[in-house]
Amino acid sequence: VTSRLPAFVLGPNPRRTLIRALVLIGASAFVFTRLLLPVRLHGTSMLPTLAEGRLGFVAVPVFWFEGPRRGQIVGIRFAGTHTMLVKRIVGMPGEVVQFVNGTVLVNGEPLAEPYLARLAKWNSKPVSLGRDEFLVVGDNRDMSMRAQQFGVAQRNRLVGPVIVWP
Amino acid sequence: MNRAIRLALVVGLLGALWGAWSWWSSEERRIRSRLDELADLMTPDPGEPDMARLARFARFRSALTVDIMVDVGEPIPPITSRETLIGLVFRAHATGMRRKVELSDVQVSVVDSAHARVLLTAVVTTGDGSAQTVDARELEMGLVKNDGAWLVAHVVAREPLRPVR
Repeated sequence: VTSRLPAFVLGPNPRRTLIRALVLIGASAFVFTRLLLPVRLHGTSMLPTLAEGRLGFVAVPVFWFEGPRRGQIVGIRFAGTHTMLVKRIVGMPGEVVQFVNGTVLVNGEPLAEPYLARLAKWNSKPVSLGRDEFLVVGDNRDMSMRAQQFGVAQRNRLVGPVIVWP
Repeated sequence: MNRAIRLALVVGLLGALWGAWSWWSSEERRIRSRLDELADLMTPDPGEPDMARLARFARFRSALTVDIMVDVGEPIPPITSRETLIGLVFRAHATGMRRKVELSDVQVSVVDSAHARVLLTAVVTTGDGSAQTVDARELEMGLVKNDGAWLVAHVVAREPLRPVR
């Protein structure tokens, strides 16, 4: 088979080229199914930060070394990581979080969110977050509260921070 | 090739054959195959003729228990019978809107010879182009084996986020 392929494809040492190609395919498969999970955004819940159709990666290893932080945009798994929600962390474990006229209050103090464009008048009851619980929400607070899928995520649902290129 | 390498190759080949046969004859493979079939049956072809649609729904009906219980959350109310479910899906498909159902991250647990549990993510894509909407749900399903066929007995949605209102 190799003798029929052009020399510029396989190079002077076809065997070495094939081994390199197999290693590359295997390494890529491992990286992009275990470490850097590709995501493409559907919907408008992360506007204006992330537009519909935006591509990015969920960096799984980051959460092996450090816990999730407030302000991070994270991937939240369903039954697995093939489909994920992409939301921002606004509430950390042990905090009491509430929406008042669209502003997030953390333990009664307003949270500065420079990434938001407009605020609709969201109001909610205070929610106490447990030891492994995070409040996650999209950046598009201009949409109605019912239209946004947001709420409390367990730590084991958070896969990793989302990385997008500018 | 020396004798040890040949022996290792033969053992490896036999192991692979045994693994393939075990997988092929396993209940998990049958259940996964049934779920693939269900996803196909819930994904209508554009311009599907009426007779083909009826045949598809007859096959869909045969994959469900009579007293199937479905609770997938808003906006669909809980359903407790096969006929109600069939009617609901039939009406949704009758709109002619393009609809695609995909099941991913399927985890199958065979409880015993007649019962199994499945956890999966169902993604329903409706419409085309800019009008396209995507609805993802994590579903827990219970299946029972009846006359050699796996039937869906219940489907319950599990929320990845606890709502705050």
